[in-house]
Amino acid sequence: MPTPGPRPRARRPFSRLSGCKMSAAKASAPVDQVLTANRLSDGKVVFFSADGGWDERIDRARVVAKADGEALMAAAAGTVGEVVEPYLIDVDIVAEGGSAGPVPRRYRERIRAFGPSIHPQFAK
Amino acid sequence: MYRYDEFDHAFVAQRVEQFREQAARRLAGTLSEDEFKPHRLMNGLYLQLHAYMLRVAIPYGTLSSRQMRKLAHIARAYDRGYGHFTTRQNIQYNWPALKDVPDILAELAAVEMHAIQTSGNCIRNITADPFAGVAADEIEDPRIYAEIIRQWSSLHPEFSFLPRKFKIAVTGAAEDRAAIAFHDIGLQLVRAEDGEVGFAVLVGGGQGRTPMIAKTIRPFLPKAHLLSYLEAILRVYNLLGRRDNLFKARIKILVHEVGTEAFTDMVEEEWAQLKGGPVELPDGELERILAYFRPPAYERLEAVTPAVDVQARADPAFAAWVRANLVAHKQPGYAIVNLSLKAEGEPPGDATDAQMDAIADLADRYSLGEIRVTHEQNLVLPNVKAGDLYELWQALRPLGLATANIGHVTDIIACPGLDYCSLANARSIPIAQAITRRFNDLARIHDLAELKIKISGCINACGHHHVGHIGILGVDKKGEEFYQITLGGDATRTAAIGSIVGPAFSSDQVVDAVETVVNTYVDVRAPGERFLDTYRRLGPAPFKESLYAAH
Ligand code: SF4
Repeated sequence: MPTPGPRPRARRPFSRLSGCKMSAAKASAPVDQVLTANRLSDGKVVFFSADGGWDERIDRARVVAKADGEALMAAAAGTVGEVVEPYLIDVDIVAEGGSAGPVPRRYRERIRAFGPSIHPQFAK
Repeated sequence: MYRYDEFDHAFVAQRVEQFREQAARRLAGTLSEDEFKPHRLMNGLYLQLHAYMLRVAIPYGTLSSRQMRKLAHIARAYDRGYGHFTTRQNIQYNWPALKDVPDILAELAAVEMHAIQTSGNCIRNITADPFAGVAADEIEDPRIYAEIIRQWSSLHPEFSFLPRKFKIAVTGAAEDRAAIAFHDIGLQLVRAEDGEVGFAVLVGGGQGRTPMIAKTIRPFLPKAHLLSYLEAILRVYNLLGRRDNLFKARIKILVHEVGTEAFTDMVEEEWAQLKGGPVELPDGELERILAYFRPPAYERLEAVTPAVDVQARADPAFAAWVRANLVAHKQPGYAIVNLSLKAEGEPPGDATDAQMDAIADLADRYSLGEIRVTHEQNLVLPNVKAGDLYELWQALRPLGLATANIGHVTDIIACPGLDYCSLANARSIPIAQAITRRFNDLARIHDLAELKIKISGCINACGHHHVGHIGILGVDKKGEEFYQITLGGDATRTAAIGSIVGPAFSSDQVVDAVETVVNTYVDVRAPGERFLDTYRRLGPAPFKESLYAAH
């Protein structure tokens, strides 16, 4: 069975990836976390969502304070069979514009969350 | 061209069904990821940043048009409409769903392809000169021996769990187009003074964290003893190779630590036990495999086709393509044609399903149905009649496959990098794309002569940065992407490992830095010098000066 083709999406500004530099100032900001993994069935990047499932969109992820990360892991325990190797990532909550919502601090995680930078048509 | 024998058929079919069952059990939750992972890796299925990645072997880089059509079909039906040709003559699909992979493997098996031995600590896909069997400078077709090695190494019980992965490359030509000095074992067909053909055996080359140039441990090995000698090398490695430290487990470290001479002695000693024994190629086997690689039915043609000159004179763009992308064929009146997968702004090595289908059609029409994959991430139509070149070129242009840049500054090798790879420090592809946009004037590209840029997203060096004339390595500096530049690497017979020129550059600076290096070469080169010649004559000083003096 073929997988559905890519859904064409609006081109996302590249600044979504590069516009969130980890500056020294960030270090003192409160750190939030989300839980991420790859979905077992198709390997897609997913986030443990506010409604207790796994969702491809980071902006629907359940965000907790870093201190509550372990509790988030525990909350997802019943559904981890759907995914591969879940882990917590640090995020900043960005308020403005098209990238409103959690934005991962690490570069690698931003690419995971938003899709390959070279294929805007696969951006999420 | 080689075809599966019955054993291969039965074996591959069995593996597909086994994997179908394993995948079903994994999806049903009865196999854990830890239990499943070794099975999926044995079938070339990785889990990368965004999705699973399936790596399909293209043994010695040879494809039929029928196989290419299948690769196109898989890209279209199960993936996102493209595939990525790698530096190991494999193709990678970046988006397959686990549930589809058994079907993909079954589709591949229908055209005698598979993804076995594309992962794990085994003998990986055997690579060869992409122009094998057609190159004018060739002693013999190396694919015959690559195939013998493939059959011997496939599922060799003793060598399925080596200390680390193991890569073998074979060439039959004087010029090294298979980077044999950077493989665990490199084999070069050579002719002795008495006319006998055998192998020069190189061992212990590699890139990665500790790049090494392979050492010649035997300048001449009679062909009949190929398998016993390889077996001897593998046995010594299997016994002494380090299993305690991942970074020291490759054979290059063993050869380096015990020394070439001592290593050679150990191999020769082991070989004395094996020579002439049951592991040698049985009588008749060489002839049997040779039959698969019989040259196609070439027409008898004049060596020179005046029409090409006339067309070239009339059309400078065609002339530039002829100059850059053609290689001498051993058959009079034929040419080897490189199809560049490095068009301006495109990810190096990527081909769309439409391009793959079109290439298959063009191969049928112009290249006796054959296609090759190069380790430099381009494709080749190996059997084109000189009289067809102009027509072929016109057909390639609208497909974006006629970029006249082979061996030039924009013919960049780039690994998938952080856009796909879970091991990456930094992105590779956008740097390559930016360089091709910066150097987009064909006259300038050709004026820069041979100039090879190679980019890796981490020290694993899949993008061969160590052997780039200009190498670019992605590093992570406090969570941001930086790029280290090396100069003077060379993957050919004059093998060399590039040296780091100085502190790394940010992603905003690195393309400017590359251009500075290139402009410096133009300023200081002597007439007729390639970049590498200039670098070897002057060393890094002028490049350091122009890169860092102002800072
Ligand atoms: S060099 Fe590193 S980043 Fe590039 S493909 Fe290899 S492992 Fe991935």
